[in-house]
Amino acid sequence: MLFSHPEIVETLSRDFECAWESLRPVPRATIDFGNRRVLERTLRGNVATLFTRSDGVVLDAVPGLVDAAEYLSRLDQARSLHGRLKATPASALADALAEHHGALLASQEGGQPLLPADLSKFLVEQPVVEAVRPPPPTDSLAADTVYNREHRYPKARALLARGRLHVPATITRELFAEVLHVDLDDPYLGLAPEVLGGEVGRR
Amino acid sequence: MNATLLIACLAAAPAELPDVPDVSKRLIEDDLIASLAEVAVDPARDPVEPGLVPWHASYAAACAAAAESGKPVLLFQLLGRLDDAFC
Repeated sequence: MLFSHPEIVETLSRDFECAWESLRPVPRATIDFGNRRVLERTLRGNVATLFTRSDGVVLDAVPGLVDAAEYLSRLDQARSLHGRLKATPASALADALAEHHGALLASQEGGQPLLPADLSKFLVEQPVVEAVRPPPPTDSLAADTVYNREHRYPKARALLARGRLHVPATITRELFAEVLHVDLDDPYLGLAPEVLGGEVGRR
Repeated sequence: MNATLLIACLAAAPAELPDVPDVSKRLIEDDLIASLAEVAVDPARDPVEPGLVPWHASYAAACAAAAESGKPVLLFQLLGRLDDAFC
């Protein structure tokens, strides 16, 4: 588990003040074999990590689960960002955060930009890039990390780059809905069609 | 039904139906079983110990500590509980 990883524990203990919160109960499937053996599994669970200042202003967010190496990288980035913005007054913080996340969004976090500058060149080269790209990892957490980096990070950054300050209470529902596609207010967490029947999207 | 279509259907019908019990039941259960088969966790053998990280009792407590220490705050949000074996 991520929070048993020695380096993560050491980093969190040394560099962060940590808290966790349960947003709502998670659906759980249970098979009771009747011989005192029980198989349990949660369904439709998800997580997010928010980094904030002591005044509650959200500086960064990591949507979903990632592997230890990625999490350590994000911890380092958050710590660095916090240090740079520590003395920034609230009046200037919104612009500073919008600029920071907007820049990362534009660069796709070191990958290719969303809108390539030389489109014709891009169209020729991209198939070659795809052909030499390493195959997706078979390890599920590694696969989640890749997915989150490529698909969810940009959405989270777009949320944080909108130029307004957030605290956890104001960003959580939006983060889970827009980035993780989890409606925290849905009593069935998207499982209503399976539980009650009916069309996808019913509640 | 169109006669040509009917003949085609009859021609394609297997001589014997496959022996698949409880098809309707399995349609519901197979996905769940496949999902459960990915991770079978015995809570007695795999307890979660959130205590490895010094978690504050609340986000407010973490913010108060951060105001003193000058550190950033990490708030881990989840559906379910971090001290649950299946989080």
